[in-house]
Amino acid sequence: MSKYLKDLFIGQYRGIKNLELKALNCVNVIVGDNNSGKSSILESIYLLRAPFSFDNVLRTARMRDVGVFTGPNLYTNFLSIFPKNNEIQKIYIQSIGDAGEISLEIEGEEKSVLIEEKDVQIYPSFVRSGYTKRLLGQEASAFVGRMFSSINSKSKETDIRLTNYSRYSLSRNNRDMIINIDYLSPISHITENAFNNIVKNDTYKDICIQLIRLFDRDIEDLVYIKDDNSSRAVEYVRSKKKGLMPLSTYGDGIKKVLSLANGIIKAQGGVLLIDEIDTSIHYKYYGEIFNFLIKAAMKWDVQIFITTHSLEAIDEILNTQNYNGKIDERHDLINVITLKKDVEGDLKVRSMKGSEVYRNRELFGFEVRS
Amino acid sequence: MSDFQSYLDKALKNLDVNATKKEDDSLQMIDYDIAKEISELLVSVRKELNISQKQLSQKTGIPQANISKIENGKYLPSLLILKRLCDGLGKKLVVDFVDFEENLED
Repeated sequence: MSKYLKDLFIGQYRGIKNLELKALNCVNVIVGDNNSGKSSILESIYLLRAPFSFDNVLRTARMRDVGVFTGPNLYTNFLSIFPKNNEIQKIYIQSIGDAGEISLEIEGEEKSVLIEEKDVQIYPSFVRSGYTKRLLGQEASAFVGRMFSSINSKSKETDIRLTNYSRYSLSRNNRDMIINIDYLSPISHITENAFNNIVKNDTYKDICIQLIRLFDRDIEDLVYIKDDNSSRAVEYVRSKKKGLMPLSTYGDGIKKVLSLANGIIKAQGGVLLIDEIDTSIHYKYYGEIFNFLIKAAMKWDVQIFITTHSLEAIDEILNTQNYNGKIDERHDLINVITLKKDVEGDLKVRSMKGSEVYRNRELFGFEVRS
Repeated sequence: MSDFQSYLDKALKNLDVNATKKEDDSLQMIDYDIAKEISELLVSVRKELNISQKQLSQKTGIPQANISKIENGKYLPSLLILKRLCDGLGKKLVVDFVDFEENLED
């Protein structure tokens, strides 16, 4: 049974302040209204993936923006991870788990600076010498501060300086990874490979094929085929009736389910963060899919964090457990974490065991989302 | 319990998480069988030169049984054995690391 993270404390991150989650479970369902901070919790966990890496901070800051050319620039993304209306900008996140105690703190302030050589050299994802030369000596807004990272007794302090001209490549770098944490956004199933990890294990691949056959009985196989023009490997589905068809021609539900299954194997021995699990899946499949997800996560030793605002989804997640039978609370796999903003706008959090939520729902018509 | 869930329980029990291939992300989709490639190469060059397994064995001192195993893809020769086979065929062994894309083009 995997519980990679046991306790999480978010001192400050985006709109969250002093939020403490104790005794995290194998499956953690985070429920709350829109804009209540569900995704921010997932992001703060993702920050712990590589606490010594400022690149990881920038990557996390950009996670909500997929479009490199449509979203705000990196600097704006970065500033948005700090709470608003503070002179001194600060984030602080701490966790206790299998890797020990991990903490990450960034503190600094926004200033006006003159662009120096080092500013255009730190993140030169595109180095056009003419462009960078012209920037030298120009006035720019910058975040100047420090990052304190620590794992148990090992700690490191890094100077940070990021300007509104800083550029950064979005590629995922696993070099500095301390905990294997992966994040599935509500649209990962469209923007990322859906079965590149599934095909690495033959038995698991067979299971995943059976899983998507719930949607389409004709599906027989998942294969990679080299595209003649780009020599890139493209994902195809082999169907009894339609033959080989690109996965992209299939519905969102199949892609979403594959992407969940793919994420589990990628996060093996670590943590999988699933943002808005219910998007793209019809509720009639929730039972089969959530059962699969939780069983697969246990098999691959993955702790999962799921956000949702769907009551049906919460119900079906709880239904995966035998809560009507005798279940020892210590063996309850699920925690339900409810987020709610009070009248002052402060975030209140309540964490309950799955069995407790289930019992209360049954007896009192208890509303998890309230 | 649905049909799928009872299938799932059985299948997950049989699933060996350690039997997962560990290739780098960029390579994983285009795996190739090096033993098969070597066996095909050896057979084709040997037949082209019209040399029997027995003759190659005599020239190289490598037992015919082993040459047969290599040609059947059942045994992956060491680089040294491979070089001796090449010597016996009057060829030069070249080892090269090429990009996958490049390799796929031909």
